[in-house]
Amino acid sequence: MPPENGDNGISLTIPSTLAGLKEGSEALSGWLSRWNMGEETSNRAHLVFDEIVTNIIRYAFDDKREHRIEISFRFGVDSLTLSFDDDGLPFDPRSAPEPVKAGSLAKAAIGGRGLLLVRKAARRLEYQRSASGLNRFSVELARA
Amino acid sequence: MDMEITLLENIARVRLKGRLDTPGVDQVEARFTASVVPGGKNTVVDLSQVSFIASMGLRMFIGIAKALKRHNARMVLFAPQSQVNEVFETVLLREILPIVADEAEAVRFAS
Repeated sequence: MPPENGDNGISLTIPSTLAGLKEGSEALSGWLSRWNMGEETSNRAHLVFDEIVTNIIRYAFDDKREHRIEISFRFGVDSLTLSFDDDGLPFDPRSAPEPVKAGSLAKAAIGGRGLLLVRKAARRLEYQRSASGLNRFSVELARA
Repeated sequence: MDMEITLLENIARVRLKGRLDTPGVDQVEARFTASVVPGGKNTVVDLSQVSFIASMGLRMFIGIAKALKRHNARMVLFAPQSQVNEVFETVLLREILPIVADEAEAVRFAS
């Protein structure tokens, strides 16, 4: 769906597919450039967006059905907040364990580093599970 | 995401250009893997034109490097830009994969 524009943010709904991720990423790019966000802030916003939407697509659903992910981007005086709503399995990303330090290629897990990158990029993380069965995860970034 | 693979005598050189986010990785991972893993090629990866990486890009590099290791071959990354290097630092990738400054050093390290 095309983004809805507000005074300081936009919201849009994307399908839980790779095409949906691309659509949302392009909307984020357009919004960041319209408000002249710097490269550092833009990169952090894209990193968070890619990690969270990829996680939702890969792990949130226990069926093959296409779901909808509601996304909003908004900025404050010195912050930028990305919010993600999905109707998948309850999951608080703040509770995910830190990846184990591998020390070598042989011992390294192939994946499991995405939420570490989100935590490091974020100033604040919020999670709520609504009574209607939606996960809402919000990531606040400092504007560089 | 663009990818150019040059097979030299004992080394494969992979030049990536663009963004290694989830869609970017989806575009190149299968061909990258098929080009270097079955032959067990030592592989150097030019990151000088990669402007962005997310964890799916890390997953691709670690997965291919592990597969190469089973063939007694290795992967060396070189010339990461600032955002890419910052992500590598955050996840301590240097403990897992060699990352060097330029192609000559990468080739020496991989040979």
